Amino acid sequence: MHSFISKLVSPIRDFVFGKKQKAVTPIKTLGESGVKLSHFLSPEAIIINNAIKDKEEAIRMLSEHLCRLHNIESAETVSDEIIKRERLESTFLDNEVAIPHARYQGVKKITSVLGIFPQGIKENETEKLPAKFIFLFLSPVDALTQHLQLLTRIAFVFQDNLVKSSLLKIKDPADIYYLIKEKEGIA
Amino acid sequence: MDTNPHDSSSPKAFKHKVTKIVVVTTAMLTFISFWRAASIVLCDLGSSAYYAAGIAEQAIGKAAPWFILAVMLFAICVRLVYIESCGMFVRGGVYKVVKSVLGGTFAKVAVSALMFDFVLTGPVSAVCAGQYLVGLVNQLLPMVNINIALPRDFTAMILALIVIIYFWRKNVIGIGESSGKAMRIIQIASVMALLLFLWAIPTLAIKGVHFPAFELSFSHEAFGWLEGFDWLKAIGTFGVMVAFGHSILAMSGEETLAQVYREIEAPKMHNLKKAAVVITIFSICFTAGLSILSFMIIPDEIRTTQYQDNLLSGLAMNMVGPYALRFAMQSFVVIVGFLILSGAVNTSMVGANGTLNRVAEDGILTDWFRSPHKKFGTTSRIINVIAIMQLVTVVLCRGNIYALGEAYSFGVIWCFTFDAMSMLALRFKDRSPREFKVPLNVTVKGVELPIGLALIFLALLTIAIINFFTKTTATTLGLIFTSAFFVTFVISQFLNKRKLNETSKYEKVNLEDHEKLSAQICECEHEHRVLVAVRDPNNLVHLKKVLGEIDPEQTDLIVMSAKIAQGYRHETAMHHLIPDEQHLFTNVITMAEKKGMSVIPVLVASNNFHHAITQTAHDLRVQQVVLGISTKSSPEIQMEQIAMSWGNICSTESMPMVVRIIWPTREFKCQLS
Repeated sequence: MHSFISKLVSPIRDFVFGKKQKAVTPIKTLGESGVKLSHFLSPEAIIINNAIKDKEEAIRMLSEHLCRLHNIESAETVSDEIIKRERLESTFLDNEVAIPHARYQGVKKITSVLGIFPQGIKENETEKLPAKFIFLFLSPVDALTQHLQLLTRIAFVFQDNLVKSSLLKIKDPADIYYLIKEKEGIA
Repeated sequence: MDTNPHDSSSPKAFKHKVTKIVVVTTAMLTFISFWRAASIVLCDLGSSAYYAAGIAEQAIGKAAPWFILAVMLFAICVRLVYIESCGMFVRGGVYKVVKSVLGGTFAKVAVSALMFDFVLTGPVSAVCAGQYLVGLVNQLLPMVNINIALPRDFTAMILALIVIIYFWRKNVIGIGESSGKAMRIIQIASVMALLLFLWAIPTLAIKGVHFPAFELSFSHEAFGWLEGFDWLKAIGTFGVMVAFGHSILAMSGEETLAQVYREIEAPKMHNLKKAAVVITIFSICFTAGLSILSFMIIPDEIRTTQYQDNLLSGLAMNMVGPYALRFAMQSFVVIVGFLILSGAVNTSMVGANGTLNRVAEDGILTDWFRSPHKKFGTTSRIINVIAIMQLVTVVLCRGNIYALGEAYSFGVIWCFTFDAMSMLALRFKDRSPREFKVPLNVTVKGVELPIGLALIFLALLTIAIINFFTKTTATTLGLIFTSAFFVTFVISQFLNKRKLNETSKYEKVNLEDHEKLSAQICECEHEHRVLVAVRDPNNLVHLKKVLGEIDPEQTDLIVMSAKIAQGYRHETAMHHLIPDEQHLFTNVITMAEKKGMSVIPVLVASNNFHHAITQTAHDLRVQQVVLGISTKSSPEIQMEQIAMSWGNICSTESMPMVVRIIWPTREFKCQLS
């Protein structure tokens, strides 16, 4: 299925990126056995939203999508948990990336969604750049190591400005997923 | 500072070599773009468009806007001097530059003079904002059938007090001046200026284009102490120089450029030049352009009677078009004015705080001034002193903007003069290559003569001397204020020295400044490195545990602490340790020596503790980071923040990283990568 999608999108991808895609350097370094961001994503888990500008609203929307996608009950509880964690210490980085998350009893494995907000979600009272990439995830309470490694991994993958600018140009979630996999050297 | 070497509990009993602490001064800050840097400066420089021409007209007559233009053009020359100085001193500003050439006494005089204008900038801007608002409200009230007029100066004074108190509180809390907000203000101001320029086209087409006359008509007090010297007045050039001196209040903010330089992102000099170009274009169009336009469009009799204190309101109201539209434009002008002038109030407070903190770095201010606020960690006592002086100034002037304008510019002009003189002397004293030089340099027999710099210095000195005799209010108040500040600095420095000479219980350390951290600078000897982050001198459980585990023959142990400063110019004293840091590093060294091990102490400046830890770990190629338990967040949250920060920093090469959080009863460990 995946190779079929790849074949389908590759001409479009070549057209969109041209030679530039070669500049996206594959990572071989953060430990081959370490977690991979793309393992926790799928094209269906990726949303592009041009309307939302408020942080809490974005978190609630992504939580709802996550719960719908993974059959998790009570999206409201999930978003409340994530917002509660967010209030303890913000997960908005200073490079247009935010990683709201929670360790949640109701999941048995890490589940995640990626929201792309080209307009940016601004945090109040901070100098940080508005977040255009919000990676929201839930992890089981007993999977702390994997949880922390995923946080590192997300921040690491989204360090690359070329990846971020490329992701903003793409409109198809399948292509976005493919690009992330490519960045991680597993495409 | 030395301890008794015979006392076995003394750190010196174990180690006679003075410990070196590597101090990293700039590497871990978040940097800002040239747009933001320019906006911060323009909040100060641009705000003078709202009052400079009106005040100058009262002193020199109708030619005022031409002189504002001349001042804006001359500001380019002063900016060039500042760009050259920034290239030499990243943490620059007048204090640093003057001290390096003319010595501490001159530097203290220059800063004292500068402080006078910082204290005045707040009240000038706040009262002006008040004047604009009162003007608008007084026009609005009859429209809603309220036939009373607010007393102009008194209401402006009350509003100014409120604005200053508001920013006083903001600065004590430590919400630093936001470069983002400054940029937004300048964007809105640019839209306003564009609208006014566009509207001026049909207005001038209907009313006719009449440039302001180049007519100098000096007020009684314009010649100050030279009033009786009629032969001087007869010299045309002298009159022009006097008029120029009265318009110099439009030129503030250059010192802000020097202070903000260290925050500009790489390539620094390139971006500084870009910021300077943006400042130049904006200040000429906004300050000078709008001033000239106001004099072209507002009839003389209306301008001098109604709009001298709120010139741009007058400009909006004298455009052609329906009254409602003109009133709406005036409201927009007032709102923008209130924003930009409030920004200038904040800039003055932050600038004065930053300048005094820089002076404090040299041990000139006593610990009492530098003592951080218990809750917010800001240098609240310095901020309190500045705010109180600004509030007193507002009350003393009773909302009269002209009185404030007359007192202004003593500090600015002498500060620029000292700065230019120092840079000129440096051209001969230090012939090392510079990133930028003020143009017009002629080489004669192998000796480079800085003609351009010398001319700028001479121009500044001439204006300063003329202003000294003609702007008598500024001179009198400036001298009193400067002397008072200078005496305070001298006494404070004396008290500090006496205190430092007393026997100290703390370990004596040498500080070694570096702009960037590397394993070589820290003299790391082994491939395997462990970083222990410390903050509380009484919570070193984690360090103790690590000291008991590692093999010093195979592992370097780096102990780092971070000075956290919020906001773009909330300076921290990096050239000497405050007592808490002395206590911390003394405990660290004592603990290491008890184990017979050496550590590499590092102190970094940052605006984020987690970022400082991971950046240090990255720069030193550390494989393990150890933290103590935080009093603010749980170990899980601490670990999460470190995990994100590490992911955000680590480069693509293979960098294993283990993070441990250790507290007395437990340990929490995770391999992040």
